[in-house]
Formats: sequence, structure tokens, C-alpha cells
Amino acid sequence: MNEYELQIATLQNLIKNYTTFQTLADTTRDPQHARLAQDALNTLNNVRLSLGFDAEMREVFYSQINVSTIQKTISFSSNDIAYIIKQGIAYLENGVTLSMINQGAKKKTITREPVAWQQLFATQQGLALGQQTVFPLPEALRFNENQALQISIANQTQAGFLFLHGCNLKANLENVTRRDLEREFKTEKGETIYLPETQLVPIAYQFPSNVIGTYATAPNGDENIFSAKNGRSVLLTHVSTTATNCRIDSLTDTGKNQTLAQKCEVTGIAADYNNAFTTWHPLPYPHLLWRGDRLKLVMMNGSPMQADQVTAADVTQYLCFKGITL
Amino acid sequence: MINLFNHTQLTQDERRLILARAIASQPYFAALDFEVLAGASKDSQYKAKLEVDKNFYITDVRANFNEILNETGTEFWLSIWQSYAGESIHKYQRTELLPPSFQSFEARFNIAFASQVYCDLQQEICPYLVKKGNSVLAQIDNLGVKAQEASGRIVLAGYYPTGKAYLDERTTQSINESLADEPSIETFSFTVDEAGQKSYILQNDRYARLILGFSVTDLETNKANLASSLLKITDFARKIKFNDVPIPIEYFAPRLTCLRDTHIYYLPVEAFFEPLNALRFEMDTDLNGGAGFEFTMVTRKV
Repeated sequence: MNEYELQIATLQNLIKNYTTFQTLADTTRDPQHARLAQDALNTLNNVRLSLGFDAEMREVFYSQINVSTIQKTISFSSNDIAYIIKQGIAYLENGVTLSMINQGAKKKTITREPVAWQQLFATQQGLALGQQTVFPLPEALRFNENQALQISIANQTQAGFLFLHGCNLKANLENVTRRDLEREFKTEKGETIYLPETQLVPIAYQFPSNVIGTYATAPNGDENIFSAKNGRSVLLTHVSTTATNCRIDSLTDTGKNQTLAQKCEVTGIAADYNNAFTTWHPLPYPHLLWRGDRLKLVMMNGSPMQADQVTAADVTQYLCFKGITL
Repeated sequence: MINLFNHTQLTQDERRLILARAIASQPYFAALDFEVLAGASKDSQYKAKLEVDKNFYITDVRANFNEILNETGTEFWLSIWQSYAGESIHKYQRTELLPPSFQSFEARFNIAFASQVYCDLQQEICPYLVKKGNSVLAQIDNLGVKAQEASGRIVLAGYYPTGKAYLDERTTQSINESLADEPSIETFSFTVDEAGQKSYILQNDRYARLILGFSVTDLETNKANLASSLLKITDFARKIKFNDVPIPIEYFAPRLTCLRDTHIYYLPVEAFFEPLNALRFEMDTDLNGGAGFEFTMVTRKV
């Protein structure tokens, strides 16, 4: 469990406290019970505010690195601003080892000796063995704008893939203030409008043909594929999919004009909804989808990772996010 | 889940808060059943309804649709919504059908190692209020091949805030004795090795405790010989029922075979186990040629 999942579990626990003590206060008219309820409500509003701020300070990204049979050293950097790599998924051979260095003006060694990739990354879901849930790196790796992550790979004899999950760090909160976030769930008088609830944000699409490289359309045939609009802002925390043999060409939050993923295999991002071990992959950090904003998906059929297998045509598929209303 | 907030390093204040919540609420499990007929064709839809007569907070949804998929090849998609509020409990377009795994976790009955093709991890949602007088409706839609006869089921686990509870002098004294002591985890268990209807009692000692969750260890590893059982739980002293209608045991506790599986399903909220109180577990068991199972209840001294 990573830190924000623990925060959300805390939020759920506080909602249980608040609802129980509020009912108790209503039946007993005891000010002590009312105080317990109010304490729980204040704390849970602070937790959701802190989750909201944290999400607004970060721009979540998913990055796919293709490991060729020739190239053995890869350099990764993100948008020339400070960033964090939190977790990753790998599709590499069993005996492959990795060395990682923070490559800046001054080298910082991350792995002193080459280590098995399984020590650092989760395995791509669907393989028979190994960890199949995304787990965070031993420590989130933070890079300044002038630093890159250099990964050296040994013993890989065929094409492989690495998926890095992380976030860019915004220098400051531009147009968002505490007031904007608070107005989502509090009135001007400070009354709480609603409690956080679990929300699904699915994106439905289908492929017109099962030929590799075919672009998906919305189920109604529209070329643009959007998630439905939400009446409340949602903190997206997990993602799952019904189709694993396809590739995200781009996934964008249209409200923020922020690209979350580009040219990335679905299995490097989302869990298979029907898998043995987990049906949800956690996002590296929560993404705040503001009220009324939509996610836009461009999806391509076929997965080179799965020996060019394709997803069936004319069947509605979903890339589904799960989260909580802020 | 409550396991994250119940451990032996709790402070006195945290312990009192959890205790106060346990006394003023009760866990509850409500089942919605769908009897799927043999030979039902693709796109057959089934609906089920649950009437709610007290404010009910849903904290997790347990289902068996992946097991049906695994056993029969029939895939169902699911939607769950609250009738009068007119909204899906997942806050997504009211009656839109989605794969059940997006909305529920699997109540795992099938313990055969090689057959684990679905997730059995307990997942909790933010408590979702179904107001007194409202009802919850669920619909499933057969997407796949012709259905074989199957019993589709979702169980909505959650809690009722019960308001003020009466504590007698002896209970209060016992709570104070427990609070003066260190919190400790203790399990209670019994073995079910007889078929048919039978009641099992778990008796508390003089300490006030909180019930955290349940676990089941089957005494068989052969899937064909796994016992199945319907369970109803009643608290004698507090006169509360965890469920009104008997529910298969896998909705209360996961089947335990190997270490990488989930072992315990935790309750939506801690249940207060009064000193010298007894819990009655009414079971209707079918041994299926096997030796039965061991049922374990995990508790913490308040």
C-alpha cells in the first residue's frame, strides 16, 4: 500500500467515524458526541484538501521505454522540469540485470551493483510467475530538471519493454488556490456539501477491425473517445482495462491539456480486469480530474508486446479509472 | 479497511474512539440474488432489489461472477444503483453495465490453486449512504455464451449506525479493565465437520473485545470435496444480526489454501463483543464428501 492509498483508507475510516457519531449525536443530543462528529469531519476535510493539493502539484505520466537487442544503455528524462519516478513495470527476460544512475552534473549511483530487474520493477501482468501488482520502487527517485535516469541493461537477448510511472513537479500552483479546492466540497459558510464517494471513470471504445494498427472509435462510431463528464471533481487513483492487446496512442486530460501517456502499451499501465492477482493498478500519484473535464483517449489495436495479438473488433472495451470524489 | 487501524500499538484515545464507534454501529451484510436459468440466451437480463429500512452505508461489494465465468464460460456485466436517489453507487451513469470486477471483489469459493483466475483481494469503497426507505437495485446482463444454471449473487457489506447503545455496569467495568490492559489480538474458532443445519456458539470471556474479521481453512484440498455452507450470524446480547438471510460463507471469509492469497475478510466496522456474550453462527453445511472446515474469528481486546 502506498502513501496516498493509506490516506484514502484514512479518509474512509474518518467517514465511518463521522457518520456513526453524527447519528449518535442526533439520537442523544449529547454535545460530546457532536464534537466527536465535528472533529472527524474537520479532519477528513483536511485530508481531502491535502490530497487535492498534492494531486494539483503533480502531473502524472506513464512512459514506455523500448529495449532493443542492441542498445544496452537508456537515458530517460521528462520535460526538462523536476520529476519523480515512483514505480514501474517491466517486460524483460528472467535473468536480466539493471544498473541505474542519476545522470546529472554529478553522477549519483542508484544501484551500486547490477540488480535483478525484479528487485525494482513489477512484472507485466499476464506472465505466469512473479509479482503482478505494481509496487513502488524501494524509494521514489527524484530528479531535478537537469538530471536524467540512465539505465544499463545486461543479459537481454530480445526486444523488451520498461514502463516508468511517475510525475512532473509543478513549480507552483498556477490558478488553483485553497479556495478553489475547498469550494468543491464546502459552501462559503464552511458547511460541508458532500462526503467523498468512490467513483468510476470508464472510457468506452471499440475497434472497427481486428487488424493491428487500427484506431479505435467511440462505441457510436465517433473518432473522438472521451470519458463521461463528472458532476464532481474526482481524484483518480487506480486503473484497469478489459482489453490488454492494444496500445494507448495518447491519453490526455482535456481540461488541463495534460498528456498522461503517449505511445504506451496498455499492460504497462492498467491491470487486466479479470486477472488472478489484481484487477486494479494504482496510479503513481492521484490525478485530479476537475468537475466537467474529460479524459481523451486515442487507442490503437494490437500489441507488439503480446506477439502482435489483437483485440476483437466491434466489441465495446473499457479503460476504466477508479477514484474518489474530492 | 479496519485492519489498518486496529493493532496492538494504539493509544488510549484511539482505542476509545474505535470502541465508541463499535458500540454505536453494527456491520451488516445484504444479499442480492440472481437465479440464472440453464440455456438462457445472450443478453438475458436479471434484476434484484434490496429494500433498506435504516440508513445503510455500503463499504464493499462482493460477488461471484468471475467464478461463474470460470466454471461455465458465461460472462455477466453488472450495474448497481440506488432507486430514489437515482444514482449508481459508483457515481457513474445510473444503469450503465460494466464488468463486475470494476465494481466488486470476488468472494472466493474455488480454492484450487491452478484455477485462481480472478482477484480475491478485499477492496473497500468510500462508505456510500443508502437512505432509510430507499432501495438498491442491481442488474446483470449475460454477455457471453448461453448460460448454464448458476446462482449469481452480490453481497453488499456495510454498516448501520445504531445510535445510542445501553451498557450495563458490568460491561462498563469490563471495558475499563480491558482499557487498562494492553490491546491484544485473539482468535476464536470452531470446526464444522457435520452436514446439515447446526448452530455453533463462540463465547467471550470477561474482557470486552472487538470482532475484526473472519477466516476459513478448508480441511480438504480437492476442489470436488470442498464443503459449502450458508451462514447467519447473531449477537445474543446486543440482539443484532449480521445478516437476515443466510449467505454463503465465502462472502464472510475467504477460502485459505496458500500464503499468497487473502486470509481474512475484515468487517466493514468493528463489532462490539460484550464480555461473557456469545455469538451464534447458524450454518447449513454440505460437506460434499470432504472433512469440513475450520472457521476462525479474529478479535482485539478493546
